[in-house]
Amino acid sequence: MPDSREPQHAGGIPQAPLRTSDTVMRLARMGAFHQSRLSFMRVLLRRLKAGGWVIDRPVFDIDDHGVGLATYRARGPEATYTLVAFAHQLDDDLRSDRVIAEAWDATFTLCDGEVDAGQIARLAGNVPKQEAGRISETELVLSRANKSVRLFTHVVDSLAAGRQPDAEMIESVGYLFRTTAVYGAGKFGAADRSHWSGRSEFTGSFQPEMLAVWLIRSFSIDIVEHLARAKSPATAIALDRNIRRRFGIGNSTGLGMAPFLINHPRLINSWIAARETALARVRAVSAAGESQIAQFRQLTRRAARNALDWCVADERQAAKIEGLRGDLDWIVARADSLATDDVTPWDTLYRDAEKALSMEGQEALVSLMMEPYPELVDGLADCMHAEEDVAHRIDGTVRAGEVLDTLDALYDWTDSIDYDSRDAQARVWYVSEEKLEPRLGERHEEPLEPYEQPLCPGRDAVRMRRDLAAFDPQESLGSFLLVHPEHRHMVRRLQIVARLDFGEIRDNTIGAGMIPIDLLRCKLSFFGATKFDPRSDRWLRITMYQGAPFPDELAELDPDDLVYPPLDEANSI
Amino acid sequence: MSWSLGETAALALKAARGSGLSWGLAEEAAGAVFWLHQRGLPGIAALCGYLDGCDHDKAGSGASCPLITGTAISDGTLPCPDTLDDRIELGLVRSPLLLLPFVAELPPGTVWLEADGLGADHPWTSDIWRSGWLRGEASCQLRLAGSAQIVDDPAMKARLPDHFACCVDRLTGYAHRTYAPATSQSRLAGAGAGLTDND
Repeated sequence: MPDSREPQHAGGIPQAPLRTSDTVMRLARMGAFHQSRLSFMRVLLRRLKAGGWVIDRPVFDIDDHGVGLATYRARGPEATYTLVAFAHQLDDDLRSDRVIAEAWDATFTLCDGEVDAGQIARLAGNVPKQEAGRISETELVLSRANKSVRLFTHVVDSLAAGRQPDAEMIESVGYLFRTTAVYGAGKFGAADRSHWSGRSEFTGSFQPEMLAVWLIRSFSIDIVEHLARAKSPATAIALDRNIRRRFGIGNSTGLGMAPFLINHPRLINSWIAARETALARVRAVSAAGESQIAQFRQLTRRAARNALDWCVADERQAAKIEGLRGDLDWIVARADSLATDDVTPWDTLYRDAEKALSMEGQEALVSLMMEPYPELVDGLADCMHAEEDVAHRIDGTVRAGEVLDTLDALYDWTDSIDYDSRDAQARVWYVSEEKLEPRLGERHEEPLEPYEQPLCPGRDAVRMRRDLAAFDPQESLGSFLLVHPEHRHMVRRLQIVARLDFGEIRDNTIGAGMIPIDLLRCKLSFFGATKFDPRSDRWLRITMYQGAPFPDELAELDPDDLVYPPLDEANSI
Repeated sequence: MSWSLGETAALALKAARGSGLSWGLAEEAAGAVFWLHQRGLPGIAALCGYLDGCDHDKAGSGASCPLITGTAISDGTLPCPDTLDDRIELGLVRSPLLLLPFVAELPPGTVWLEADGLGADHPWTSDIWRSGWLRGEASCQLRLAGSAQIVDDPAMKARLPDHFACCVDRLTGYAHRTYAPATSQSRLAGAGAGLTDND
C-alpha cells in the first residue's frame, strides 16, 4: 500500500496515513498492544462519570466467614443495573482458575434494572453453578472469581490489626480477587447483545462486562473490610483511599478467548481501525501545545514507573518488558526534548520510534501519544462495534476468476508459508468434550484433525486458491461452491474481509511457532488490561482497573489520569 | 427456561457441523435458524427435523437438502421468478421451512416459497408449520408476488421459548460430535494449568 505523507482529512479532522494491515495485523505486534484511551474500561468510566452515575449497595448480607449476598446498584440517566454477588466458602483444594472448576470464592451476575427477592432466589439457584446453571433475558453478564489467598489474608489481618496492608505486597499481586470468566452477550441464557446494544451507556464493545468487573472490584474491597471488622471490631480500620486504588481485579484467561479475534473480523476491524485512526490523527497534529507536552512528559515517566512494577516469571515476556523499560527511557528522553515549535512532532517521534524501539516500545508509545488528545481520540470509541447478528449473504454471481484475483490480493502474505510443511500445520484448534472450550492441540501427535475448527484462514485460503485456479474463471462463484461446498466458509470470510482494512490477522494461526497468548493480549489490551503475566504460551493473568477510581470517588477524580501509577515526589517533574 | 438467540444460533452451527455439513453450510443453517426465530418461526424444530432425517436415512429419499437448495437460490445459481406469472419448481425439499430465509431475502423481497397447498391462501400458523414444513419433505415452488411473504415485526423476537427444549437436547447431541475427547495433554494446556491457584 503506498504510504503518502500528505495528511488526509477524515470527517474534517486532519489525519496522517493509517499504518498498513501488513504492519498492524501481525501476531507479534498484536501481542505487544497496550491499553489506551480507547480501551473499554476507560470508555466505561468516562461515560459513567459524564453521566453522573450513582452506585450504591442496597444489600450487604455477608456473615463473619465471608459467606452471603451483596448487591451493587448502578443508576444512570436512563437505566439501572444491579450486580448480584454471591460469596461462598471454598476449600483450598477446590480453588482453581481452570475453566473446568465447579466452585468459586464468589459468583456474580449483572442484572438489567433493580432486582427483587424472587429474582435473587432464582439467581441463587443458578449463578453459583455458573455454566451448569441458567440465567435469563433480565441478566446481562455471568461471572465468578477466586481470591488471591495470600494477599486477601494479609489485607484482612492488617486491617483487623489497625494497619494498612504492605504496599509492596499489593503491587506484587495487584488484586484481591481474580475472575476466571466473564460471560456476556447471550451466553448461558443471558440477554442477547441486541437486547441492550442500542443503549447509549453501552455503545462500543463489552460495556456490560466492564461494568460488572468494576462493581466486582468494589465487592472485593467491601468483603475484606467487612471480614477485618468481624475479626477485630475494636481495632479494624478501612483501607486508605490511595492504597485502596492500587487494588484492581485480576483475571485468568486461556485459549477460550483466542479464537474470538478470528471469528469476529468485522468487530476486530472496528477496534483496530479506531485505534489506528486515533494514531493517524495525533501524527497529523502540526504542533504540540505546552500543556500537551507537559502531560506527555509526565505520563511517560509514570509509564516507565509502571514498567518497573511489571514483573513476570515468563522468560519471553520478561525479556520484552526489559526491552520496554529501555524503550521508555528513550521515550522519556525524547519527551523532554519536545518543543512547541517542532513541526508535526508526534509523526517525527513515531517514525523515529519505528527505527529505534521494540514492538512493545512502539505500541506503548502509540498509547501514550493518544493521551494528551482526548478531543481527537475519545469520540472514536463510539465506532468500536459491529453488527454481526446478520449472516453475510454470499454474492455467488461474481466470476470465479475475479474471486481468485481478490484472494491473491488479500492473502498475498500466505505466499511465504508452505502449508504442505509439517511445521506450518503443526497445530489444530478444536473444542474439548470436557468443558466445551477451544483448545490448541498438536496435529501430528494427537488424533484431533477430525475435530478441527475453522480458525486457520491462511491455510484455508491456500486450499481454496488451488481449487479456484483449476476452475473455469468465467464460471460463477455459485457454481464453484456447488462443486466445492467445503470452501463456503472461506468464501464468506473473503467477501467480509475484502471490505475491511483490519479484519484479518496476517499470520499463520496454526503454525508451530504461533504463540497463542499474542491473540489474548491483543483482545485484553482493548479491554484495558495491564500487567500481562503469561503463565505458559497458552494462558495468562492480567489486572483490570488497577488505579481506577471507586464509585464513591468517580465524581471527583479523573479516571483517565489514574491509569498510570502516580510518581514519587522525587521522580515527578 | 428460555435460550438467547445467540446461543441458539451457536448450537445450530455446531449441530449442523456435527451432522457432517461443511462449516460454510453449517453457518447458513445457523443464520437460517436465527432469522426464523427472530420472526417467531420454529427454525430450530425444522433444523432438528432435517438433521434427524439425514441421520436416519443415509441412503437418501431423493429429496434435496434445504440448505444446499437455499444457498443455490441465494448464491444466484438457481433461477428466480422474474414476472408474476413465473413459477420456479424446486422439486422435493426436506424440512422446507429452512428454505424460507433464503427465499425471503431475495431481491426485491417479494419472492414467495410455496409447497403442498401452503402459501398465499393459508395462514402461516405454528400448527401448519409443524405438520407440513418441519420434519417432512415437500414439493416446493418459488413465485413472485406483489408483497413480502413474511412481514417483519418491528419488535423482533429475542428468545427461544421453553417448548423447544427437546429440540435443544437433540441438537446438543449432534453438536457433541464436534467435541474432541479430552486428553491429559489438552488438560495441561488450559488456563490455570500447571500451578496452584491458592496464591
